[in-house]
Amino acid sequence: MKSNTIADAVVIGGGVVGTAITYFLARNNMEVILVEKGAIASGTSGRCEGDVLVSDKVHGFDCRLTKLSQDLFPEIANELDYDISWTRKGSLLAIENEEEMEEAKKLCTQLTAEGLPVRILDQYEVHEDEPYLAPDIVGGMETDCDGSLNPMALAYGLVHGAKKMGARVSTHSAVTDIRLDANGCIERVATEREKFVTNHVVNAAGVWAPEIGKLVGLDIPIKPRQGQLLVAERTFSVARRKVMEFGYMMAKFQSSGYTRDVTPEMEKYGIALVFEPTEAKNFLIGSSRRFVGMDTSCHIDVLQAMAQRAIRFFPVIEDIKIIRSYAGLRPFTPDHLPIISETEIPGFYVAAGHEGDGIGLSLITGKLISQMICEQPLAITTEPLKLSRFKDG
Amino acid sequence: MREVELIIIGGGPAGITAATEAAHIGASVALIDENQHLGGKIFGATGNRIPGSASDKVEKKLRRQILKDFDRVGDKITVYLNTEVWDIVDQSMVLLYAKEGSGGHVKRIKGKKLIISVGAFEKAIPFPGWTRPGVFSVGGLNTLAKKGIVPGEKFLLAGAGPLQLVLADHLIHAGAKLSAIVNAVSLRDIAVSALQLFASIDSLRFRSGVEYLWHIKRHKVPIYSSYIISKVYGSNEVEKAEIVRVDRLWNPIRGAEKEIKVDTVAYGFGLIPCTELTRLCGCKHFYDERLGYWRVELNEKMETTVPGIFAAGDGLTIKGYSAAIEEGRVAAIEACTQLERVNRREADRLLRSSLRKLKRFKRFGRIMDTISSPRSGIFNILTDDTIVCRCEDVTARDVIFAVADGARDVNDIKRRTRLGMGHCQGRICGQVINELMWKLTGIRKQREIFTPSIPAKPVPFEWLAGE
Repeated sequence: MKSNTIADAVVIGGGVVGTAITYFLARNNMEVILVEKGAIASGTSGRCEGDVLVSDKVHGFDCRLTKLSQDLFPEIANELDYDISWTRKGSLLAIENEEEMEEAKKLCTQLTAEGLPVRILDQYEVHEDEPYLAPDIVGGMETDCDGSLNPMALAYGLVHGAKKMGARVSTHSAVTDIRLDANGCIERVATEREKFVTNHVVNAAGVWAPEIGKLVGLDIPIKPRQGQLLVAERTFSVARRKVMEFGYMMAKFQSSGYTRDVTPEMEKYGIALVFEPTEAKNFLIGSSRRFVGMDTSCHIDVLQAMAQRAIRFFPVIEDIKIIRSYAGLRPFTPDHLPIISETEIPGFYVAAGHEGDGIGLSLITGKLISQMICEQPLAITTEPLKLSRFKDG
Repeated sequence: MREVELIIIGGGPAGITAATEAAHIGASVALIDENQHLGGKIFGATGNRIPGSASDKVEKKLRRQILKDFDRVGDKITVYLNTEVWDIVDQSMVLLYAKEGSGGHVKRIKGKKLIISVGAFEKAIPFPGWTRPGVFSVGGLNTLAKKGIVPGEKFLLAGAGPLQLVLADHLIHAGAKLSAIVNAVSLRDIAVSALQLFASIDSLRFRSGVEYLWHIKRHKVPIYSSYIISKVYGSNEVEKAEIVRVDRLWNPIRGAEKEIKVDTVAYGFGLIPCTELTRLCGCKHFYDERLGYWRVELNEKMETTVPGIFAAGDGLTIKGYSAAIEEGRVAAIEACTQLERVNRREADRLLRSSLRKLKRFKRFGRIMDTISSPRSGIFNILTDDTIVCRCEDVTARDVIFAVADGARDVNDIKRRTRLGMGHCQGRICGQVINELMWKLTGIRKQREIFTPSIPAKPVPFEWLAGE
């Protein structure tokens, strides 16, 4: 065991969230150490898509937080000496019927009022935009500011950038102990290999955040929610940018009791079309939602339902081949909002529970945590993101 | 969905024999193969136009024999040709993709027992220029040569392993001009294995080997032993090849390069078993350092660590068709015993001769693998620009960057470079990435393999979407 290293802050978790926090702390001239039990981006960040979207958020706080984060990407992509494949081609939500169209129009008005570049496309326009969409799709909602990137490259890029500014990164070493001093403040973090003396610890361990929480006796209500993805072979451009289905959002957010015309399996596995063209000239198909613990294996019934849903929107893909599938674990919280928060333990912060929005929210999370630790004014209120919100009800 | 007692995946010598044996005993059998004809890589070639050696003649006779036996019980076997197996669910449900033109429409078959006899594929080690047109795999070129197709003027055969001699023989028969045979193995090692072969009384193979060598010598083809191919040049297609002498560990010796004018190169280092399906089923595998590949763990009755799933043929270890036939037989008899189609005592009687023969074949396989398996020095021919993953165009330089950036395992390299993410799903690059990483990090870690994923073979959305 090496002698103690002194640091301003220790960040636990080498996914996009932890690396972003490390980056922003280093940028604030803090001496920061990132510890990760495996390799960088070997957890959820290496098993997801690269969305940076506002179009699938609830209007209001959620939307504003996401937009703030989104607007940081061009700046950071520019700052990093690493290609993260950031593109901003916008996104399209495909609308299946008139009922959905009504809702889409309402949402569009709300989002426009928030200052977002959102627009409704009619049936003709949507097929002009994406000619391979099924002919019966009645329209779409286009969001111009949405973007995408390579999530693993984002994590590697942030690590690169942070290191350049003096951060230290220690991979393949799991945290074994977090010690508090007599006043109950953070004093020391121990990993399998080293000990760090520090006053600030950030728990950015995603689906593993509850385990880290236990080390200091904190209950963190995050559950792994599995999502599976299909990877298609390299082929022609089926769609030029991100396409999702509007109906799923309605089913998810609206209290109107809207139900989609889908099979029981699709309902059971939370199947919703996500089509993502990649830089590598192929495309990814999602999405699914299941609670199966830490299991990251794909299940044929889920993949089948995803393929069926994808063909419903893009019949042309029938003959295109799938070459691979993989599954990741979204860190799910009961109210779908992340935890970006100080805690009852002075010096212990939680930045986890981003569910499917970890990539999109990574930068604002990094910025907010760094502002908390450096005692700077916050970019946005974090009241709705506090860990304590789960205690009261 | 169909249901049978026994599903056999792969209709090469092992699969055909297994199907014949099981049908003969009385089990209901489905036999699935990805090609248009049964027979696999060795017995599947039709339109064979060249006379061939003694071994070829024996091979042809054996082929006729097992196909004849098969036809006799063939009406009890449902055969799915031109059909790929892309997933096995719950260790019993086989998911199919009938390729275009096959007319097949069955998507799922359920079987009580499973025999996986999917054979092997060629081991390729990247070298500068290996992805150019004009560079073939030994097996690929051999398939053409057997049909009398000669896709070039001046040939160079490089690599190691007995297949090289077979190909040389076939090319000469087909009328091709061989500029050189370049073999990484030293003459001494070849002589030692020849003696071992002789000692194992595999007279047919020994005789064939001598016959091949004699044939090559008669046609005055220069043989370079202890040489490897290190580069091919040309504006677009291959015009020249550079070869270099190697030491015992196949390290290239600087200054010992030679140039040879050729337009076609065949390259290979023997075969390695296909383990995608057995891995997907959760069968236990281990890496055999001496043979140089991953193997599925088996008991002597060919059953894997997953009860009811058997494996046979070159998908286990490379021993050739004679062994595959016996293994197929053993697997089928044992499966039928478990199906209670035959009682234990009768089964033991049936198994006796096959089990005895298999011991001998084991030895042959070991000798062949030991001489063809690449040694560590060969990885020194890779330059920074050499493509190591041809599906995703990942170069050695990309891997060097990833390692310099902290990548410490193959999945980490995959995430950083896309190596292994393409069409072949790491079949080719998976063979070299461990060695390359050890060389770059200077740490020889435990060998890793990419995690298997669904589908085992590319499958169209329509076939996954199902009924």
